[in-house]
Amino acid sequence: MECRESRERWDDELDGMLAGSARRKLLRHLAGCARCSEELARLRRALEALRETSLVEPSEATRAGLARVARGEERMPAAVPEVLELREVAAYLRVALADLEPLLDELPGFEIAGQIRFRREAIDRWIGEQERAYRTRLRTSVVRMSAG
Amino acid sequence: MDELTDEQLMLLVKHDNAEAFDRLFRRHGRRLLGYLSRTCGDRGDAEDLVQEVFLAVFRARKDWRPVARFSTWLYTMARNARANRWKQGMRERARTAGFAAERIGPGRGAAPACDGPPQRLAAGETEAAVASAIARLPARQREVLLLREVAGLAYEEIAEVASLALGTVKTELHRARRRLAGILDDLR
Repeated sequence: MECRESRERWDDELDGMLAGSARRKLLRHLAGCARCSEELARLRRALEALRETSLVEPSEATRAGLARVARGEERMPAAVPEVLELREVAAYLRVALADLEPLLDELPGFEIAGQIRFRREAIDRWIGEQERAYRTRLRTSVVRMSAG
Repeated sequence: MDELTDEQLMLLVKHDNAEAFDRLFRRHGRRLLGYLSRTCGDRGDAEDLVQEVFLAVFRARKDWRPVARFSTWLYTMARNARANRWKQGMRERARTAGFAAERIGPGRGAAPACDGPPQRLAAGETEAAVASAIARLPARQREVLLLREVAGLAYEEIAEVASLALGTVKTELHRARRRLAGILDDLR
């Protein structure tokens, strides 16, 4: 093999695409040609330096954030404030504002500067009470049905 | 799941499998971040983009068809996201400078976000040499070199992702490798 032919094979060799007799021929040439062998080694070193310095691990926060999205666990976006206005409570509970109005006496709000506000935590507790009441009602109706 | 191909994992993602998605990120996140960091200039911007690209992958999961390789799809999305970021950067700069976006071309005023030449990714002599060598490559050679060596794409994928003829990919990569080695030698 001539030096010119050897050089034409370098890209394949660097890509790991050279095999069999073609590769054996190249390796034989390199063993006997200091110039080609040094040139190819120089290319390898350059690409190695490029890869080594370029591959950086993404932060754990990026990975965890993506995993959370995929698991659909973004139930409470961080943007929801701790203290809510009535319309925010409606959005939080996913009902129309008008549907909340009859419940105003029941909802755990407080008054400040003439306006009504709700702590998100208090709303969550209130939801818990509603869940318990709902279960009790269900049980009662099941008992009543089996008795009837 | 380790024995599954990217394409098989993506089919699981299509059916909302979160673990498969995490696996794909672990497989490709490092290369994608490397590629974007080297072409975006800023490590922080690149990390934002990585997140953006993977979110786009997840949101488009129902459209996934296993006709192309996953990596081809991923890097096509990455290049689109980078181009959008670049345009956004141009607009923002135009606004703050009080000019119309068209009046500021690349290379005039501050460099827009996500447009090379890339800065150093870390400390160290090798890094300094590599960063400055990459900055001195012509844009197309830089792109092909990074898609091959850092992203690890096959020639056919690079051709598709970068909209180049296969022959062009080969000659540009050939030149880029030699040029990189030459510049690195001069720097050392």
